[in-house]
Amino acid sequence: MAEAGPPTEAERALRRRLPRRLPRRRSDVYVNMKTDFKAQLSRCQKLLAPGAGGGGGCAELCIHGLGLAINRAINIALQLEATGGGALRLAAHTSTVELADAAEPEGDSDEPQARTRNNSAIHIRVCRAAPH
Amino acid sequence: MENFRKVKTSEEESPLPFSDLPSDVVEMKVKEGSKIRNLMGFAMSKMGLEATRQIVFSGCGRAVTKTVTCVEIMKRKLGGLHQVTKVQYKTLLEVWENKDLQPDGHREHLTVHKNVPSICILLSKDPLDPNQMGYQPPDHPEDLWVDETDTLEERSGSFPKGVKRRLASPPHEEEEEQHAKKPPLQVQDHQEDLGTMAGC
Amino acid sequence: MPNAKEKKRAKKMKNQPTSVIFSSDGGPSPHAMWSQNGGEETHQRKRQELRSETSRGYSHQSISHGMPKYLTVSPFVRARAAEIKAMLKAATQKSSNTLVFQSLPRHMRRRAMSHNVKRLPRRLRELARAEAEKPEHQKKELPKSKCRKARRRHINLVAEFNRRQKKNIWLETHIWHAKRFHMVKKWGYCLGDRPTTKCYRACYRAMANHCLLQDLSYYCCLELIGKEEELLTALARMCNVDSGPTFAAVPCLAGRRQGALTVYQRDRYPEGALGPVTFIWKPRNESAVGSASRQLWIWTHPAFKQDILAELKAVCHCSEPMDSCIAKPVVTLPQEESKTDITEKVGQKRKQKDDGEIDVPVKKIIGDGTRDPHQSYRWISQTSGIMISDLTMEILRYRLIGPLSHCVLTEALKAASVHSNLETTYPEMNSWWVENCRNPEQVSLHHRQEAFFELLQGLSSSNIPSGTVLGLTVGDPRVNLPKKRSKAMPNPEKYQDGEKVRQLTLEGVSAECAQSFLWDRNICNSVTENKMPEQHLNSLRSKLLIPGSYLDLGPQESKIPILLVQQPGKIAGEDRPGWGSGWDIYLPKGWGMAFWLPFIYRGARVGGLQEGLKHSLYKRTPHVPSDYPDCPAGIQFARELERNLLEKFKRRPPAKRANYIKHGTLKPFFCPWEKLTLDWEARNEASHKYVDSSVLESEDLAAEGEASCGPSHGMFVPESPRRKEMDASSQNNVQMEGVTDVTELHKGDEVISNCTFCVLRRKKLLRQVSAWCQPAYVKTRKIRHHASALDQQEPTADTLLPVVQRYPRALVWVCLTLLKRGSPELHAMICIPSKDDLFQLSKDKHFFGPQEPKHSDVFKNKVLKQKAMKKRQSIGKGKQNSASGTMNVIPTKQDDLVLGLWPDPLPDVTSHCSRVLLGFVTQGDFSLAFGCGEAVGFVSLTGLLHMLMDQPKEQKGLVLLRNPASLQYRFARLTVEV
Repeated sequence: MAEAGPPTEAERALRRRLPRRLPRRRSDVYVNMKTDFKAQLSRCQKLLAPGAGGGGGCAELCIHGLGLAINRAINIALQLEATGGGALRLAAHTSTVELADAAEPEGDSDEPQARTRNNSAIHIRVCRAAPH
Repeated sequence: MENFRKVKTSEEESPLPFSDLPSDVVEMKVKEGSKIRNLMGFAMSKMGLEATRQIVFSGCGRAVTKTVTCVEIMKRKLGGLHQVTKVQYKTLLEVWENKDLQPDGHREHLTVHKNVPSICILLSKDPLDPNQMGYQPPDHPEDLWVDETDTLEERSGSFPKGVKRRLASPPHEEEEEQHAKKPPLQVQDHQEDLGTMAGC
Repeated sequence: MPNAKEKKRAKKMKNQPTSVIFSSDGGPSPHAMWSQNGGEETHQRKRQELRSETSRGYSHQSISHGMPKYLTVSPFVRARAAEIKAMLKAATQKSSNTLVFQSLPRHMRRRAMSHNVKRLPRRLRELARAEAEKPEHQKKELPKSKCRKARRRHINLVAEFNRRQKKNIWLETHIWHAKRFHMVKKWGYCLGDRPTTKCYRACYRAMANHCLLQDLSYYCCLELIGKEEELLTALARMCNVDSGPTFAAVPCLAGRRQGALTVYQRDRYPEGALGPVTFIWKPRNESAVGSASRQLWIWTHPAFKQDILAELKAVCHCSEPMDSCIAKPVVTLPQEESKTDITEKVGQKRKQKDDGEIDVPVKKIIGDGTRDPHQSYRWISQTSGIMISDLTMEILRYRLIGPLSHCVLTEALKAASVHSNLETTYPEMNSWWVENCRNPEQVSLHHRQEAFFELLQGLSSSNIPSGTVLGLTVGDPRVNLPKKRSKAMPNPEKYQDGEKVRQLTLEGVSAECAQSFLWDRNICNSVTENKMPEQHLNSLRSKLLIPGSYLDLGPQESKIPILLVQQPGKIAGEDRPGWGSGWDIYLPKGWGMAFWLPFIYRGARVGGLQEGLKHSLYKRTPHVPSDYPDCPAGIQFARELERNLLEKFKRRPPAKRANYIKHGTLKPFFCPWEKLTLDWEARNEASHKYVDSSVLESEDLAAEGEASCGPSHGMFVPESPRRKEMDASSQNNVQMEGVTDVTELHKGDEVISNCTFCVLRRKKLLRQVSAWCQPAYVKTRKIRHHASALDQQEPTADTLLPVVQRYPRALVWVCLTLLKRGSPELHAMICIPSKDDLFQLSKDKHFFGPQEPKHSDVFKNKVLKQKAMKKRQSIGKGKQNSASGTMNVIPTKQDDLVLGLWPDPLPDVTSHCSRVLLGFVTQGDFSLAFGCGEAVGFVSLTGLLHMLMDQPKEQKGLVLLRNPASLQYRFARLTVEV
C-alpha cells in the first residue's frame, strides 16, 4: 500500500514506510495516484448504486485521500455528485496523518533513525439522501 | 501545444459556500506557489487577535493540499477550533497565446475553461451549526472507528474525526478493481466484532 | 473300480441290510409263499422282491424254480418282521451327513432356507428345525485374531517414524504437511514443496493481503557464547562493513534488532562468499559489566551450514569438541500420543534425565541431515573461550508473512499469567516461571512485554522498524483453540494512536523487552519435557461443564518462552516497500504442533518451498540457496538443478525436445557465470586500454561521493588490501587451496574456494550503479532527494574505469520488469539492445523486440554419426562375441553429445547471439503484483556499465530478455535495487 507522496531528503537513504493499515469497511474507498482515475470513479459509482451497492445501510460512501491524492479524492467526490442526479450530499473532513520514515544504518556505528512527518488527509463522506 | 504560452489565467469568482459569514471575515486565498511560512505567519497573527473569530482558507487546483496543510497546522497550534469543510468545482479561465506570429500579424488566442476541484475551509473559535455538511468538532475523539461504526445510523451530521491513515491502492491495483464489488471478508467478521463489542 | 456314483450309493446304503430275504431253510422260498398270500399283491410284492433281489447289493437268488405252492406262516412272518424292522431302523437312521437342504433337488433349494425354516417344503421343516439347533450349525465364535491389515500395522508407530527419519529428518509438523503437501527431500530434510490443492493465487493473496504461514524449522541455528570483544574480533574477519552493517552494528549488538548479512571466508572479502545469515544477539543484562559473556545466534540455511560452521570454527579457533552425542534410541511410554508430538533430537542433558522418568517424551535417533550422528555438536576454544554449539532442530521457527500476520499472532497467543500465590502443587512444571514471578523486576518486565504485544494489534507488521525483536512468555495456545476456522481480522477497536504507538513505530522495542527465556537452554528443556500431552488436555477439556468454553488450567498451564522477530519484507527499491513483511516466531522444540494448529485455525494459509520462492521473487531478494552463485553451496545447487533439468530433457522424446543449439542458447540449464565474467573481462580489455594507476583510482574514490556521512574510513582502509587482493587474484591467495589463473579457463567447479567471480555487494557502489540505471525522467524527480554527489555523475568512461578495474569479474543482482508482453523463464538471457532496437522502440510503442535468427546446428551431423556408430557397435557386438578393439575408438568427447545441447567447451558466451549477452535470469515469472512479467537475476558488472555508457538518457536501463527456447527478444527495464 504505497503512498503517493514523494520521499523525503536525507543524508542517508530514508525509506518511507507505509502508513498504518486501516480496517476497511466496504464503504471505504482509498484513492491513490497510481490507479486509473476512471477506474476509481466507476468503483465508487458501483458502490453507491442502489441495489447491491450502497455501502451499508446508510448508503454512504467514505472517500479517503492522502497527500497528493486529496485532489483526486475531491475530484471523484465532485464527479459523483455531478452525475448522481442531485441525490448526493458531500461532507468533507480533514486530518493529519503521521508518516514514518526509516533510515537504515549504513555502517556499524549508526543507529537506525526514524522520523515522522505529517501529511494532510481528507475524508469525504458521500451520502445518498433526499435532495434539499 | 508547445507553441503556445500562457498569457493570463483568471479564476471565476464565486462566493464562499458558507452561510452567515460576517463580511470582514479573514479570507486566505492559497495559491500554488504560496509559501506556507508566509501564510501561517499572517493567519496566526490575525487569529491571535481576540476579535477575529473566524477565518476561511480557500484554494483550488494544486493548492488544495497546501490549503489542507495550513488548516491542519492552524488547528494544531490553536486548539478548540470548529471546522466546516466544503468542496466544489471552480472554473479557471486560461488564455493562451501563440508564440509564433501568424502571417497576418495576429496572434492566435486560446481560451481554456478548466474545472478544477477547490476547497474552502472555515475555522471558527465559536461553535458552529453541527448539522452542516462537513462540520468537524474541535479536538477529535480518538476512537474514530468505534464511533463511526456504532453511530452510522444515528449521527448523520457530525462526523467524528477522520480516519488517520489513507491507504493508497497497492501496485496490484488490478486486484482491487476486480474486487471492487466483492467486499473484503472483513465485513462479515467486522459485523461479528460489533456484536462482541461491549458498550455498543 | 467302483466309480464315485457307486461309492456314493454305497455310502448311502451302508446302513441298509444287505439281504432281507429270509432263506434259513431251503424250503419255502418267497416264491413259494407267493400263492398263499393270495393274489396279485403278493405277486407284485414278489416281483418287487425279485427285482430287489436282482440288484447288486443283494445276494442273488436264482429264480429258476416256480412259485411255491404253500407258505409257512411263522417263518414268513418272522422274515417279514425282520424286514420291516430293518426298514424302520434304516428309515430312522440318517444315513448321510448331508443336510436336509441337500435332499432337495437343486432347483428347489433357496438361499433363505438356511435361516428361515419356512422356506422349506413342509415335510422337511421339522427336520430342518432339528438340524438347525444342532450345535455344529450354530454361529461359531471366531478366534480373536485381527484382520490382516491390523496385523501388519506397526505396533509402535513412533519407532517406525524414527526409523524412517534416519535419512531425512522430519520437522515437527511433518505429518500435518505430509497429508496436505507434496513432499520433497532436500538438504537432509523432508520438506513440504507445495500444497496439493491448486492454490498458487490463493497463496499469493494470503502473502499480499492476509497471512501465509511457513515452517522454517529446518534452518540451522549456531550458537556462539563468549566474551563480546573476542566474538566481535573473530567475526569481523568474516564480514565486511561495505556490504552493510556487520555483527557489531549497534542496534543488533544491543539485542534489539535482527541483523542480516553475507558471510565470507575469513579475510577474503569480496571473494569467497559462504552464504547469507541472520543473527540475533541476546540482550545484555543491565547488571552485568561490559565485557561479560554474550550469546549470539546465527541462523543459516542448511545448504550453507557446513561451510559456515567450518569457517566459524576456524575463525574462533574452536577445534576441540566438547561433547558428542551418541545415537541412543530410547524406548518409551505408550501413553504419549506420538502422532502430533514427535520431539526432535536428543541432547546431552536429556540423556541424564533418561533413566528414571516415565513421562519423558519420546526421543529419536539423533540425526540431522547435515551432520554425522557421531560427530560432536559443541566445540570450545581454549584460547578465546568461545563456545560454539550447533542448535539445529532445538529451536523451531515459524514464519508468518503478510500484513495481517500480527492479527493471527495476537489472537492465537496470550501472554502468560503471573502467579500470584506460590503454588506448590506442581513443583517440576513451570518451576522456572514460579521463580520468575517472585522477582518483581521480572514481573514488571513481563508486563512491559505484554504491553508491547498488545500494541501490536493495532499496527501492521511493516510499521515497525525492521528486524525488531520482542521476547515474550505465553500461555499454552491450545486452551483456546477455536471450534471452527476463521480469519483473523484487525480489530478496529485496537486502533490506538498515542505516544506508545509512536514510540513503537519509530524506535521499536526497547532492549530489555527483547529478553526472552528462550535463550536459556535449561528452561527450554524443562518446558519441552513438561509439555502437557494432548490426551491429557483433551480429557480435561471433555470434563468441562459447558462444552466449548475456555479451559482454564490455572497454574497448571504451561508457560512457553518465545521470541518474535519482525521480518521487514521488501526494503530495497522504491515501490512496494514493506511487501511481504511479517513475523518469525521462535519456539522451544516439542511445541511445534501446539502452536501450528492455533495459527491455522486463525486463518493462516500454509505455504511450502515454492511459496517461499515466490516470496523472494516478489521481494526481489536473492532466494536461498539458488541465487547465490558465488557460494559453494549455491554452485552445488546449480549443478543439481542442471542435472535434474537435463534428466527431464532427456526423458522427452527426441522430436519433442527443443533444439537449443538452433535457438542459440548455449546453456539452457545452467548459468555459466565464470565464462560470462571472463568473456566480459576479455572484451573489456580488448576495447579499453588497461590503465593500472593507483593515482587515478584513489582520486576517483575521493570523488565518488563522500557527501554521505557514512563511515568514510571504511572505504579507504581496506582499499589497499583490496587492491593487493585484486593484483594477487591472478596469483594465489595464501588460504586458497587450489591454483587459479585468471587467464586460464576454469576447469571445473568442484574446487569450491576457487570461484573466480564475485557478486558485488558493496552498498555504495550498488547505489551508484542503481542511480546510473535510472532513465532521465525518474532522475529529475528524485534528483533533489538524493542530494549526494555520487548520483550526479554520469557514467562516462573515466568514472567507470576504476570501478571496472576494482571489480573485473563481478556480478550484480538486478531486477527486471518487462515492458509489455512476455513471461520470463528460468535461465532466460539478458542482452543489450542495439541502437537500432532502441530507435525502433522509440518510434513505435508496440514494438515487441527483435527476433533472433535461427542458428544452424553444427553438431547435428556429429550426433547422428555418433548414433550410427553406436548402433553399429552394438550390432557388431551382438554378432561376434568378442568385442573388437577397433570399435571402441569413439572419442570420449562425443559420448555426451545430446542432440540440441552444446557440448562442453563453450564458445564465447557474450557474442554467440546477435545481441551481446549481459547475464542470466535466475527466477522469473508473471507477477501478480505488477501485472506483467518480472524477473531477477545477475548481470556482469562490466557489461552493465558498458551498456549504460552507450545508452541514451531516456532509454537507460532497457534490456532485452529472451527465453531459452524462444527466438523472440522482449524489452525489459533493468533496475538495481538497493
